[in-house]
Amino acid sequence: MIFSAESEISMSDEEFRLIRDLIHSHCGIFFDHDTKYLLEKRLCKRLALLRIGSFREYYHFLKYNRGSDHELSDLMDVLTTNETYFFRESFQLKAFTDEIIPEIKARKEKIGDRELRIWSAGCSTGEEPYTIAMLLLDMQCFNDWRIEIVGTDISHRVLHHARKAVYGRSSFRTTQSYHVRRYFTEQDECFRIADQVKRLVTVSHLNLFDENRVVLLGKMDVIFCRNVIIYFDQIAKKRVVETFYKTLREGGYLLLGHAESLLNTSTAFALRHLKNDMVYQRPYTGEKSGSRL
Amino acid sequence: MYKLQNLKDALFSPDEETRRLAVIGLSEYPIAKTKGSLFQALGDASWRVRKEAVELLSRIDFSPGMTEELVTLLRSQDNAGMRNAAVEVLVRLGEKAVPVLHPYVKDADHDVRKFIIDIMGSIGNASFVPLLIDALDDPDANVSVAAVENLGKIGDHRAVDPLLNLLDKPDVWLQYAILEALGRIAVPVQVSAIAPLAAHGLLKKAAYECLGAVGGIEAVPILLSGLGEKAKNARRAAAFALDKIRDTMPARIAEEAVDPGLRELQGTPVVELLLECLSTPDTAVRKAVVKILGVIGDKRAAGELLRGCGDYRLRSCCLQAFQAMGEIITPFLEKEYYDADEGERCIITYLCGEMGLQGCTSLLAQGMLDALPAVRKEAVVACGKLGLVDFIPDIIDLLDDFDEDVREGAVVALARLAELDKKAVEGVAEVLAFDKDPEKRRDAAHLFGALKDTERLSLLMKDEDVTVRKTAVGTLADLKNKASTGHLLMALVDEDPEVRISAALALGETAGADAVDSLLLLLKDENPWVRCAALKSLGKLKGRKALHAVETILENAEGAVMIAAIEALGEMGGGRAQGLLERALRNEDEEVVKTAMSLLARNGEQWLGKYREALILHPNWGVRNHFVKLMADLMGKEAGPYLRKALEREVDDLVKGQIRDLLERYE
Repeated sequence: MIFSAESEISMSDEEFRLIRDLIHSHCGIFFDHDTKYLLEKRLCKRLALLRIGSFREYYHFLKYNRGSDHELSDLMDVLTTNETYFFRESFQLKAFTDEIIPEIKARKEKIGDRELRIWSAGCSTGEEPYTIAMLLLDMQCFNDWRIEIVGTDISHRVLHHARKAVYGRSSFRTTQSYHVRRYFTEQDECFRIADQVKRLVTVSHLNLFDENRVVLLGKMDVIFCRNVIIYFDQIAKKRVVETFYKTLREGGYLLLGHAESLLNTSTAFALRHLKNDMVYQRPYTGEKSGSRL
Repeated sequence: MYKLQNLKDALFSPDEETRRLAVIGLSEYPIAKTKGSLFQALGDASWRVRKEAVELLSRIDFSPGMTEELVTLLRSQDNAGMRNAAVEVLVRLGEKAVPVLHPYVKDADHDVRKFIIDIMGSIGNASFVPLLIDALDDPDANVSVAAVENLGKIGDHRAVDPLLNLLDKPDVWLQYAILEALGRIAVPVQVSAIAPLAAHGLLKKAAYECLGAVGGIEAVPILLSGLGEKAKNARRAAAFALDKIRDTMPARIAEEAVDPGLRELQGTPVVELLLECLSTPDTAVRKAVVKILGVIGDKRAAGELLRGCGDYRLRSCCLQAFQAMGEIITPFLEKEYYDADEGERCIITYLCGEMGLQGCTSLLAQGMLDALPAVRKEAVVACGKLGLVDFIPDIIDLLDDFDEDVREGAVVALARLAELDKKAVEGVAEVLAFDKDPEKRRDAAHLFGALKDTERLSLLMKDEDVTVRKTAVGTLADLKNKASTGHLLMALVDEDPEVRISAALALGETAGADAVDSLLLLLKDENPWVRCAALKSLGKLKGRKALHAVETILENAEGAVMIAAIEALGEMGGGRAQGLLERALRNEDEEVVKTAMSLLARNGEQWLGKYREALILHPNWGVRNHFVKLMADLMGKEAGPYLRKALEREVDDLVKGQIRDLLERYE
């Protein structure tokens, strides 16, 4: 629990809605009325820093400032919570290594394709993409493959951490000592990730609402997007899931957090009941017409 | 046609994806040719196919005949998926389905009647209310209870009397549903009609909830006794309802009518029963219980309140509850501190400062050495709040802490102590002013501000680092000392816009007419926020020259500059400004309109009548919301008829809620 004192500037319902809607249209993150207190408290820090005396003025600052992209980016740093750790949701990772990857590998080998591309959307401080890289290195069967793991996040602050790739003990709460020994070196009571892992991972800033930039990422075989779309409202969820659909290759997998589902969001993905987890897959459509995407 | 037939055939494919794509493909053909296939898809074994069909049908312009056909799908006894999908489409059709649905509320099939009633509730059209009231007498119990539930969902006050008349019927299930429905409609009801049901074991919870929504001051004794209920859910409901009623009362009435009864519970077993109620995931209930515990003021609640501070949603209520308990919690905090986790140590140190608990000094000394930066920060800030000058050397040590927040906290503390030990703080500031680190020089500026030392601040305004200059200007501005005008005028030519903004704003607070010419020049600054700052200050300094300059700016301004110009006009006042403000009510930018309204309201209500209609029907919800609030503030009770008329026409929930609150205030 991180404690901070109470907000000194209060936010009216109208100001809350104006700022909330502006954030929503920027990146899809939706704050319902119950989180007004949280928004008010976190934004107070920005107001103090900018020497702005009211939320109305702050709204004007965001609305009329040409450089508001920069402020919105700083705002995201304040608003998004980023707590994560290596090897999170082990059952899903087991499905990834034991079922999903072997299936994709077999399929690709048949057609002589030796490229594997994985996107960690909302990668926060980088534990997830580096976990994926370690798992693939553990498998020792991709020696002559081109592997690319792309981690993206909307917060610059967390990406800085991800690029630095130095982690404290709280990131290792479910990491086996074998992985720590093999892929990390200790440095001032922290752990630096090994170059062989880092080499597989590219970290980049991305707003999931920025469809043009998503296209630049290229097609993916697997997308991890765990505990990200919970912050979106239904419309934003639909928009982002549609982006994922377009980005995935046919037969590619979408892995959401264990409490997340696409029910009422999209019918485009098939639900696959694997031994270790239930995951979403972009169905094969081949030459079939009728796909709207 | 060949392709259409292929799509229809594909709906029989064993492959789910093929069937789903077939549904999508059917969207390209006229509904007359695909209706049968789409209705068939509503009953598909796969939810993905059904959902796709629902989506597609929801976008189609249904004829009454087609709606009738859709209703017949509700008769499908063996396909629950199809019935549910048909319900979903009918609900999504909304108003368009209304005339078709009416007769089916008397259908011979009780399942269909129940589906139709549920659909009516979800659509929420007012024309359904009389039909649902009739359905209260339906011979099928499921149907009559559904009618009760959906009358509650629609929330129409016409349902209140028929529902109250049914309360006598000795059917617990029905009574429970009625209590819930009355609670949702939330129209005030005689407490005596509900109170007897609070004695019934199975109905206690619903009765208390209902009282919270429909009861007033007369429900307080029943709810106070409900706090001691054996059943936890009933107790929670009573606490929630009591807090809700207390919240709607003016503070003076609550203090007289509710709080004495709560304070009498101090030292009784009810406190323990209420503490048990906190083990619910329902935040709203937990908040209510915390607030009630705060008013009771029993020390036994302190532990739970401390843990409650760990949840951001409860924190403010818990802190208020602690505040209400006062100094009696000092021994508890001292004892708890040494076994507390990191977060709790933060809260304890924060409370010491916030509540001025002088008995906690040893705890704060410990806090300043804590391993967690957040604790050190709260402890050092608390030392400042408590005026602990003996701790100044320890506070100075924290100026070099590795954590930025702790360093900032140390500066805040020293600034607070400046009045009590000027010499010591002056000594620190002088050393910091010559530090090679700009952050330290910024700290010096804050401390010179606390010492009101304008001379030292003016030197820091010439610092090579922009952040130091900005801090010095801002601090000088806060002092509002007219003698600083010369320094501030010089800062207007600083190369950094942030410094120019700080200086321009400061001049508005401290300078006289001699600063106007410089501020007028600043209206040509390349940075719009500098222009805004200059306009704000010109508004404060007033004068003919300033008014003319603002008028000129208004011709071409937009966005933030336009708003600042209007605000300046508002500050200047006078007939000329009034006319320009009224013109701004027609501006395309809703923020400009809102600003103009607020400024016009300062001079009275004479403009309201002329613009009322246009502003109540303004396309932007924010403008409407702002206008109804101003109208109520200016006209008081007289605004009632206009507010009611606005409520009838309003479509936005937030604005509707605001109008209802305003009407409640004056009625």
